[in-house]
Amino acid sequence: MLTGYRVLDLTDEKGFLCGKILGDLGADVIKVERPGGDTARNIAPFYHDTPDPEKSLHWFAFNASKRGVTLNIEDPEGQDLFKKLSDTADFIIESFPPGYMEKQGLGYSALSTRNPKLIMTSITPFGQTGPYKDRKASEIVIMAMGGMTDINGDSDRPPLRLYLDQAYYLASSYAAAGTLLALHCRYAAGKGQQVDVSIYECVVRANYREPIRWEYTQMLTSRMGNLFARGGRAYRQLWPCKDGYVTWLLMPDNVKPVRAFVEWMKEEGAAGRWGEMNWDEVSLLKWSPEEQDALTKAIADFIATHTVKELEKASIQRGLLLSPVNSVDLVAEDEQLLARGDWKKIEHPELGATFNYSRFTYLTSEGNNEVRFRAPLVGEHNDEIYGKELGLSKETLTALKQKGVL
Amino acid sequence: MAARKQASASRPGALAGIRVLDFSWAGAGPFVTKFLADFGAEIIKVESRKRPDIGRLTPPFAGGINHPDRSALYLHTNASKLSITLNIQHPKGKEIVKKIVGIADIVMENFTPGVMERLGFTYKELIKIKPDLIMASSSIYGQTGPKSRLSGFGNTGYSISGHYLLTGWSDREPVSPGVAYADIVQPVFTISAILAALDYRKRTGKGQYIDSTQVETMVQCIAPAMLDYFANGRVATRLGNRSPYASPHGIFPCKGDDRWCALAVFNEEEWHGLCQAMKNPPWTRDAKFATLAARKENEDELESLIAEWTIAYDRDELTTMLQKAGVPSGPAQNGSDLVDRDPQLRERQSFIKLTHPVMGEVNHPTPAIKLSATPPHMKTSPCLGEHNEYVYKELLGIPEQEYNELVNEGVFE
Repeated sequence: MLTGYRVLDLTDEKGFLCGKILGDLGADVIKVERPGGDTARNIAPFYHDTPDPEKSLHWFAFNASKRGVTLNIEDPEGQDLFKKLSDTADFIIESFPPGYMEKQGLGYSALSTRNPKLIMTSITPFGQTGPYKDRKASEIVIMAMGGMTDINGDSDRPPLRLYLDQAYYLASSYAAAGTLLALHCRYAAGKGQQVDVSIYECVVRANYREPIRWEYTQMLTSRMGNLFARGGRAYRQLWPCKDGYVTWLLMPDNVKPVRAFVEWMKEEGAAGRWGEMNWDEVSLLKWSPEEQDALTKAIADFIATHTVKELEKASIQRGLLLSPVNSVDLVAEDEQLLARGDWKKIEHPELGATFNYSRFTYLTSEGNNEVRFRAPLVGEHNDEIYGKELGLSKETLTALKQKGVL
Repeated sequence: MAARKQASASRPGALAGIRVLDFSWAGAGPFVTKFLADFGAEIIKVESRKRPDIGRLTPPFAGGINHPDRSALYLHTNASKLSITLNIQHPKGKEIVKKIVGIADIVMENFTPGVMERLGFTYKELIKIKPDLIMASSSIYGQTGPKSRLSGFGNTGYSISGHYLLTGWSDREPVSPGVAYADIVQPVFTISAILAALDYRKRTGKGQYIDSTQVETMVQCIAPAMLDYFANGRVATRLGNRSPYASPHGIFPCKGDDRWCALAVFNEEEWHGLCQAMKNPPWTRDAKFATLAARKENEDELESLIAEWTIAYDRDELTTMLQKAGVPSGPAQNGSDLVDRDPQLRERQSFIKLTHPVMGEVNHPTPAIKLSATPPHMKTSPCLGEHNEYVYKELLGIPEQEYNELVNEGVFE
């Protein structure tokens, strides 16, 4: 889809996924790492649990579909080389603290004077402006400040974050969207612009209900474990079954799935008094909380006698609005994902191994969107990019390597 | 077929001139078109009096009055759009859909797979009218495959993709956040898909069909755990607030009721900063905590020692101390903090006050990202059917008499 565009990716773990999204879409994404490699190569998990900058599965996961070079952009010669490289690029994505690129003489104004079409996307905790722009933050800090942790977890424990660095992945996908929006504008304007991504604001947008609740009702949500607020009540949405968990929610405004459940229970002789009701006339909204809870308990007891697979199958057939709470092995074996060709084998010759990667995040009828090749080794494409493509001589390259510029 | 008309030229912005026919409803779909609308695309949102977007029926309502033009959630997910009412089951309603397709660049929908087919609005049908159309369908599980018809509620995608089981404390059952998180993430990927498709159309003249799913999107967001399974055979488990590459890494209690501060230490420099902020108590010199690996090993003890220190301070006071010591940190805030107090959000205009004709002057959420040359152009959210006359008469050029007949036949209900 984006074949022919070039991206220089200077991000750390905050922005990895942005370049990955563009790379999967076919752009030529070049990961620019410090000499010796990005520190994020030390993030676990590792292939066969062996800590090694060339074995980080976290690195693999978010840097596939990219080529890689090393460059010291704090060195004057490195800065010159970066400028030359940026002349060939459509996009630069970076996640340094605000002002860092300017300090290296590589700010947007300097680079866009040479290459007016350049689009520069910056991914930082709080954005390029504002009183918090220089604060030190990390994913959990941003999730907490954005209010996402306040509504997650149990009331007797601290606020809880989501699994892994979700705020970074969310902000990275916003960064990809912003970069492509700037690309769209480039046709009419004839020049690029800067895209300022505040991870914090991405999280605040994700936490979309709380600001509404506060503004309109002056109420806040407390951490409620597996209760899900709906209308004036909170309903439990996680249920243990024979071999795991499923999610299901009694939604009083939607009687259809409840009725479908009762019909199934009736077939198995477990519907009790609910099986005798005339469901054409049932309005759960008019039921007392006690009545709603009694039916919910009967359904929960029924769920407990079935397996995840049985429940999932029935949900699709009968419209129960129930879904399995999958573990990663079940995700890997899921027949829907298999049928859609969701896994792609990617070769790691250095490891003598080939394993599956998630192939795509969406399907398209035109153009390609899928993971293309494994993440780069440290400096893997230095010769190819600096030598063959930029035309630096072997001697120059060797000298730059010796001086620690590459 | 109506002559192609450019989207209202008076509407400025990054996506000025792009028109979207929007069938989407509830959460995941409308977030996509909200973003496009805020940046200037003309979104024609199709609803009906019988079946308005469920967002319109969702509390809270302005003034506490249950009315389709008073839902705050609807406003937050549909600002900057146009609303028309149209009976898309009616044969003449279907004809009008096709006329709008003829002047649209993009069609967006998030019905359960199969509904667009029943309505006669598949991509295959619609490109007969508009050959370079971009159409995006957003669903939980995809348009193809044996489970494509699965429908669900807010947390279905979160649950199937593996996230739900991985969210929570390692010694308790899993939990999911009090917001439908996959409904937030998927739209952002769908926006990228649409914008990439617009660029592809510009370069090749070809439109395309986009099949976006919550599950596949969310699987990308646990990619390291998927690789850990495929490469190492490990089935990931819940980590609570911990991180594989930092320690301490958590949210710690502060002075007051339900007051907390998040802090994280990724390297030795930050560890020394934290120790300094704590005034170097003797336990910090214990070999148990000397390296990241050692701290991970003794994390339970480390966390309780830090909590004994943090509880003595107000969360903002603690944040100031930690920031001074170079430790990533910040308070766990709530909706009130975000709307009423946060200076960063205020300075960056994360919420702006606009006047809605029925709801009055209220906060509107602005896009999460800022473009230096093309700022957003926010408008308030539309009342139900507010733009019928503009779309039917002005854009489609339906003459007055025919328009009135269609009204009488209930086509615009």
